[in-house]
Amino acid sequence: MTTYKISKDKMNELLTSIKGYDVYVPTEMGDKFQFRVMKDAGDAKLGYSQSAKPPKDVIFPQNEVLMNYKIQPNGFDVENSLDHIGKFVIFGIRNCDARALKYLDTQMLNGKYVDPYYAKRRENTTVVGLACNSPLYNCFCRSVGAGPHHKEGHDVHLTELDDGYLVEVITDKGKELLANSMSLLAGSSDADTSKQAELKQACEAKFVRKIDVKGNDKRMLDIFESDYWRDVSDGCIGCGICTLLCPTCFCFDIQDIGSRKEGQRVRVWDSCQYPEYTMHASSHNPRPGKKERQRQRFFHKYVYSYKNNQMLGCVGCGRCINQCPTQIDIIDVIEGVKNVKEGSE
Amino acid sequence: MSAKNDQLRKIARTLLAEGKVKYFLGNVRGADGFSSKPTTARTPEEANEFVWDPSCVNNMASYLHEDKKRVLKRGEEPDTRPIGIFVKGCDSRSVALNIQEHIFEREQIYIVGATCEGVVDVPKLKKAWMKRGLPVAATNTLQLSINGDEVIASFDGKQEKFAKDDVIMQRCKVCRYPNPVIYDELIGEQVEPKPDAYPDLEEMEAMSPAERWAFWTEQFSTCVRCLACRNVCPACYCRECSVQRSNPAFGPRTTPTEKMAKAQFSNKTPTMEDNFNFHMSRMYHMTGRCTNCGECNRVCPVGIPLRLLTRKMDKDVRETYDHESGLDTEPKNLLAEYDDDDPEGGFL
Repeated sequence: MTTYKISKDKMNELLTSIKGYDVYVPTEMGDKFQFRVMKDAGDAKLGYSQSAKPPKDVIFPQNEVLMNYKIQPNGFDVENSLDHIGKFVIFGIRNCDARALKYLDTQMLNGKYVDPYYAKRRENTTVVGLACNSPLYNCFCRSVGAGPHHKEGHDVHLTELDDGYLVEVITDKGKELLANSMSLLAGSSDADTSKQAELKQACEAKFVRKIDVKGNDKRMLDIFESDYWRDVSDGCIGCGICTLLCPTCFCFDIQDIGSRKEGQRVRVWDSCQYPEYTMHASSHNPRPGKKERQRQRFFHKYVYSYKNNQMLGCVGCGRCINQCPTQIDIIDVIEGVKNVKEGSE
Repeated sequence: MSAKNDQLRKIARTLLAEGKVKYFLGNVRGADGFSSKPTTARTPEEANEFVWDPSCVNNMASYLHEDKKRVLKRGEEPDTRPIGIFVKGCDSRSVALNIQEHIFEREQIYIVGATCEGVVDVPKLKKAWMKRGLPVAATNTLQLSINGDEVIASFDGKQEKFAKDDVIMQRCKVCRYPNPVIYDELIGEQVEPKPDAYPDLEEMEAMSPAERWAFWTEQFSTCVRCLACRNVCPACYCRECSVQRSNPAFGPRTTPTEKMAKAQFSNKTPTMEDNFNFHMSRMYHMTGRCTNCGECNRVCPVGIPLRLLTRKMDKDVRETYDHESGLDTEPKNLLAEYDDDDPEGGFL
């Protein structure tokens, strides 16, 4: 790992000097932030708090055309979109979202079946992380294994200092990305590194909410049938915001769209919060109500993921809490499990 | 604890204790201290948690439909007692609309109405709170109230005042129905309605068609089609929605009859085309029915200003047909009524 420093006014130059990639940067939209392809370096708002939608859709797009097909008089043409995947940079991702990409890897790249579309995009993506100096009220990444200054999953790690950014090049991919921009970077001093440590400490002190997950998975299994799950999901309207905006949710559906002659096979995100998600062909639905559907969300993140991958399916970004229209609060729900007076103790 | 809270709790407690309602829909304090959270009270004890203060943004009328959609277990007798519900002025119009459209009969709902001086935009309040550097932990004891032009937050025996215009919902600034239009019991004094005007639409109406197209293209480009706007809508109650079907995609062997039976106006894919399709279909279904509670605008996770569309629709319907929905319980529907004396001989 090599450490450099870049002054703040040169940041835009650095962004412009990245060639051959689609550079996704946090941009301002209304009163929210969104990761979008950079058209002009001035659009990048690196002082952002959190993007409304996590940048996982660079690697796992919500709407991904898998192939185009066309029926010809003698056979048919199939064009696999795998051949057209370009190169991407996610510039300024927070550690919570970067860690979520590592979680997605366990689902998409591990085991017998590797998802070729995901694999190719992942391979072609360079992740430039940006340390978080002011967590939001509902952030709890420190309780679930991530952290505001963690570098897990980053190819390059940036830390905003008073007079510039500390640039840590972690992987070869990161080196390659910055190859053209080396002239903009200067060496860093010990004072910068100690300032970084200071910022880290100051940021960690700012966290308000936390969650204690120890032993919760067993307790949750104990009270699987409890009315507790009905009570916590009373206000749910079944919209699926919590899953669609979750950086670790990965469920999808495959749709064929088109006419008799030509069309596309498309992969779209799906959500366990929709009744159609578990509907059987017989019309029986094993998760008939919001109680069962919300319970599934909590269990997948805090029980099953841990059991299968030894990694929680939650990175503590707090989006599902901030954006829930009816204030369902995952911290409260998981913490509340300890107070349920049923099941075997 | 404020008098309004006590009044609501007392009413709900009594109704549940006497078994006059099967359950009661209301708000309790959310975990972050600022917001309130919709809930269902099934016992008098649960009703003791209810709050009625300016944080109660949720339109509880959206939760009425669940009663219709719930499938009874084998051998289970339907509970015919009414549902208790807490409504503000705007929400009461949504309940009235449901009665107008015969989704519920009047006696199936026990309405506890409250006059309302406005509700706070919680994210805005949170931002203002953080900006002033106020203690975050203090929100556990936070109490909100509105006094004239100020929103007063009291915590730990201290008081903090915010300008009402800075922290209340945009929808409350143009609210013409702060007092419930129907109710069985009423909490609070009558509140003066805001003047009948549409200042919020001026900007959009001044745009040229090309500008307007560009504006909405950008807005809809971020839609994730979570369908929260549809789910939260008190006027959306179909059992199965045409934009979200579980039937398999059409193949080359799908017959025209099958296609007709399974009409799907927009695909699941959140492309620009489908996003426009979905939002416009929804707006068409709302014409003359939307009561402008503004919930779709509030819940949108990516901040699409849907209320500009619903307000514009409201304005056009009033100007063209002099119609407003959800003002009383008499069956009245702009686009589903036929009059024999209609000057346009028509389609019937």
